[in-house]
Amino acid sequence: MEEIILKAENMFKEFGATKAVSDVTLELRKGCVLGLVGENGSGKSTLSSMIAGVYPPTKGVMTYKGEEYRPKSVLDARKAGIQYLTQEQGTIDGMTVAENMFLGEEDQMSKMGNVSIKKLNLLARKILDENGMNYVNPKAMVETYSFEDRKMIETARALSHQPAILIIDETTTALSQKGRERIYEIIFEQKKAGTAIVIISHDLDEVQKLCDEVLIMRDGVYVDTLKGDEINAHNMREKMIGRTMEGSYYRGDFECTYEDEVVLEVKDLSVWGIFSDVSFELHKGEILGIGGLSECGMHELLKTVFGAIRPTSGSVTLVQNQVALKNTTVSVKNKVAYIPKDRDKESLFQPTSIKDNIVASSYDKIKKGFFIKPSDEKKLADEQAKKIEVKMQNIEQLIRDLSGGNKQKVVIAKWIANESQIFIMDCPTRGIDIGVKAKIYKLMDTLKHEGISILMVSEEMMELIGMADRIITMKDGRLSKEFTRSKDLSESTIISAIV
Amino acid sequence: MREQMKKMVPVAGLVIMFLLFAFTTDGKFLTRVNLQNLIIQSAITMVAAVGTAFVMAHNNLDFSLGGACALSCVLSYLIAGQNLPLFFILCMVFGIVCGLFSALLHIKGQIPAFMAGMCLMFAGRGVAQSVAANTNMLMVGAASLNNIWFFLLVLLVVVVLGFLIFNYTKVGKYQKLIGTNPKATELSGINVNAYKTIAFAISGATIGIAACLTVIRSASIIGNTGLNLETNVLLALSLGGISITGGSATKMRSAIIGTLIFFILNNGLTLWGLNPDYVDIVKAVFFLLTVTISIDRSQYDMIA
Repeated sequence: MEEIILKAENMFKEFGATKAVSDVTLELRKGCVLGLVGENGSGKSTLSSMIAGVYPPTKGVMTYKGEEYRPKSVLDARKAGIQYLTQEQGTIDGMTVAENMFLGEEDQMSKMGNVSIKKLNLLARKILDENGMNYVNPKAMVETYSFEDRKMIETARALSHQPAILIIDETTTALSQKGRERIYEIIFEQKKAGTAIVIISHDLDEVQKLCDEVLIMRDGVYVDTLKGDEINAHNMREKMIGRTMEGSYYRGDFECTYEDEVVLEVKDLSVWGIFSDVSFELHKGEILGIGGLSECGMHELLKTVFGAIRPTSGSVTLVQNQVALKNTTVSVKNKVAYIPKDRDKESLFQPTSIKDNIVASSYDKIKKGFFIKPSDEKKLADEQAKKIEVKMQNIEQLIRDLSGGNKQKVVIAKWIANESQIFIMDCPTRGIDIGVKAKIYKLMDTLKHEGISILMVSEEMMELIGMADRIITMKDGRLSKEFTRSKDLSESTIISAIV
Repeated sequence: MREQMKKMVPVAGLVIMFLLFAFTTDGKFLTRVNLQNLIIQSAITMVAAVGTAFVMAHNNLDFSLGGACALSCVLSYLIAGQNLPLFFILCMVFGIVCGLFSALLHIKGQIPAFMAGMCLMFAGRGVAQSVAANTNMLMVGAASLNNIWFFLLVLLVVVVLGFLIFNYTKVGKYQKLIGTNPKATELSGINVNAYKTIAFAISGATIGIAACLTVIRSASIIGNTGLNLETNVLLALSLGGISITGGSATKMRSAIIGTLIFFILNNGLTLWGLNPDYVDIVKAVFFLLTVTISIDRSQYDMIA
C-alpha cells in the first residue's frame, strides 16, 4: 500500500437543517486515484469541497502530511498543495489568461507591490507550452476562448503548482471527447508523479477506467468502497441507488420508428462563423439526435432552430402551417419547446417556486380574459409536477433547493404543461445522476409514442445511440454523416464521424 | 423565518411611526385636516410609485418622473389651455409618450433605462422652466377638484388596478420573470422587449395621472412642477422594501406602504416643530436604517 497523504475522519457538514455529509471517512494515497460516486445530492461534492477549503466541516478532523489540516479558503488549500477543478467556469471574464492563471498569487510575482505583467505573461506562456497549449495567448482576454479552452487553462494552472492532491469534480462532463482524453492523460501523468487524485463523475465508464478505488455515497452517508475488479458500472449503480436496476436504461427497442409526416424542416441554415448549410427534416414521433464536439456549432444550431439566434441565411419552417420560426415567441406559440444546456442560467427562474417555473410558458392557456386565477396556476403546476414525479415538498418550494435532476424535471414539466409538440433538447441529462437520467429517458420514450418529435443534441455518444431514431453528426459547423438506429451502431463509429 | 421577519419590517415601521406621532403631537397628527393633508400629499407620489413598480420589477429604473411630469403639464397646457378634460387626457397621453420614449432609447438604443430617464428628466425640467419664465400658467378651474374625495377616488382606482395587473395578469407576471432571469424569459417564448415597453407605458400613464393631480393641487403650472418626484418615488419604494434588482421579490405593497411611511415621517417631524433643514437629515438616517434591515440580499449570498 502506498503512503497515506490525507486522511479525513468522521466528516460532517450541515447546511441549516440539511445534512449534506454525515460521518464519512476517507483516505487519499500517493499515486492513487480515488473515485467518489453517488447520485446528485449524495454529498460527494460537499465532501471534496471541504478538503479543497471551500467551506469548513461542521465536525471532523483532517490530517494532511502528518499534521492537522484546516484550510481557511481555497487559496489556503492551494498553497498547501491541494488543487480543485470543478465543472463550473473557474476563470473570470475581463481579465487576461495570464492574470487568471495567477489570480490570488500575484504576491509571489511582485516587487514592492508592483506586479510585473511581463513576468506574469512569460511564466504563463511557459506553463501553457508545457501543457501543449501553444495556441493560447496569455495576453488575450480569457473570454475570447471557448469553455473548453478555459477549462484547460485552469487545469494547466492547477498542474503548474505540482499539487500533492488533485480533485477533479465533474470537470469532464462539460468537455468534448478531445478535452476528456486530455484530462485522462493528465490523470495518468499525475498518478505516475505520485499525486493523490480524487475524481467525481457521473460517467461510470470513466470511473471504471481511471480509478484504483471507488468510494460510494448515498444521501450524505458512506455506503461502500470498491476496489480492483469490483469496480464496474453495474456494481456502482446498484450501490448508488441502493437497489437493483430493473429493465433497460435507454430505450428498449432497436428499431428506427417514426411516422412519415415531416413536422419541421430546416433548410440551408447558416450562422456566419458558426455553422453553415445545415438542412434536415424532423418527423412526427421521431427522436433525432445530433452529435459532435462541443464547438462544432450544434448548440448554436439548436438555438437558431428555436429562433433565439437570428440565422445569416436559410429557414426553419413548421411544415403543417408553413410558419417560419423567426423568434422564440413564434416558436412557443406554435408548440415548440426548447431545453437549454445551461440549466441554471438559461432555463430556470432560480429565486422562484416550482409552480412559477412550471407555469411560465402557459399563462395564455390558463388565463381567463385578462386575468389569471392563482388557483388555476396551482392546479396546472401541481398536475404536471406530480405527473413527472418531481421530488419536492410541495409546488411552493423554491427551485434552487432542488437537485439538478429534479430541476430538469421541472423544466420538462414546463413544456409539457404548455402542450408542446416539438421538443428541442440541448444535452437533456447534463450533470444529472443516473436515477433521474433513466426517468428522463423513459419520459422521452413516452413523448415519442404520443407522437411528439424530439430534436436532441448530446455530447454523450451512448445517449445518442441509446435514444435516437436517427443520428446526424456535425463537424466544424457542417453536417458530416447520418446514422440510422441499430443494434450494431458503436461509439467509435460515431466518434470517427465527428473528429 | 428571518426572511419572513424582514418582510414585516416596512409594515411594522409604518404602524410604529403612526402610533409614535399619534401620541407625541398633542393630537395634532390625528386631526382630520392633518390626515386629509397627508393623503393629498401622498397621493401624487403613490400613484407614480405604482407605475414605477412595474419598471422596477423587470430590473430597470424610471428616472424621468419629475421632468416627464412637468413636460406633460406644460405641453398639455400649451395645447388645451383652460379646457380641463382635454388637459387631463393630454397629460396622460404625453406621460405615456414619455414612457415609450425611455423604452425606445433603452431597447432600440440599448442604453440603460435610468440614463434615458435622466435625460428626459433634465430636458423636461428645462422645457418647463423656460416656458414658465414667459407664460403665466394658471389653472384656476382645476382647483374645484381639489378635495379629499377626488384624491381618494383616484388613489383607489390606481392602486386597485395596479395591484390586479401586477399580480394577476401576464403583464405583471412577465415583468417579474424578466427581472429574475431575462435570458430564461426569452427562451420561454416571452417577448421581453414588448413587455418591458408595456411597463414603461404603464409608468408613463401614472406619471400623467400624477401630473393631473399636481395641477389640481396647486391650480397652476410652474417651472418646479413635479420637482423631485423621481427621488421621492424611489425613496418611498425603497422604504416599502422593494427589491432594487426587480424579479419575483418585487411587491406592489411596497409602493403603498413606502409612500405612507415617507409622508407620515415628513408630516410628523414637521409637527414636532423640527427645523425643515433637519427633517431631511432625519429622513436620511431613517432611510438608511430601514433599508439596512429590510433589503433583499439574496443576490449577495450568491457571490459569497
